[in-house]
Amino acid sequence: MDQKLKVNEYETIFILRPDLTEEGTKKIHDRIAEIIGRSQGQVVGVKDLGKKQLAYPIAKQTRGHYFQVNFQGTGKAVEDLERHLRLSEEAIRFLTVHAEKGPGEKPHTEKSERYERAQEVYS
Amino acid sequence: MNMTASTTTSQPARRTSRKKPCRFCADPYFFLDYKESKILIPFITERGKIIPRRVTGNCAYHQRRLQESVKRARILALLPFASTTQL
Repeated sequence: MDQKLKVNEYETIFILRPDLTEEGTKKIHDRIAEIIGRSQGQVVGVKDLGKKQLAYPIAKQTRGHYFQVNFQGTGKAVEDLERHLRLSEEAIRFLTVHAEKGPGEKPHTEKSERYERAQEVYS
Repeated sequence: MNMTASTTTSQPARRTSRKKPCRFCADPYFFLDYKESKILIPFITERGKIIPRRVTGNCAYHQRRLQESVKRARILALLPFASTTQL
């Protein structure tokens, strides 16, 4: 394997058509897990964010079913996953970003001066 | 007329308001997340524009983060790029 490839944790959000059956969405999830696995990636977690109203229509849809997949892998895994999502008819939008630490794990401003000044005013 | 001009120059309407501290600095657990449109909505106008930090009082660091989050949320259709309707 090329040594230059660095393993990162990524977070992909994708929006599926809202009218898909449960079976259909499951099939897509299996396919995604397979693609990530084949690119030496590892799925950390999958989250159903629910059906939401879209702020603007995408592919003539006004609602969408949001899913979040976190995985560890190289840029190759991202490339493969995004290619699949781009070609698939069911996914109407997707976005991949570096996964960030959630609240509580890293309160990044706790010791800063700004934080203390803000505390004084808001307490 | 001359009088009014002099009074306005001698007493300029100066607003002495204290600078609002950044709301994200105030609460380290108030986490900026592009997936949570509820957090981002107070920082955009009805038309969907990002409100400048001189109005909201955000610090430069958090305004940069906010900007990125809003842009991501727009891609995911959680926030509008431009809107004429209410959120």
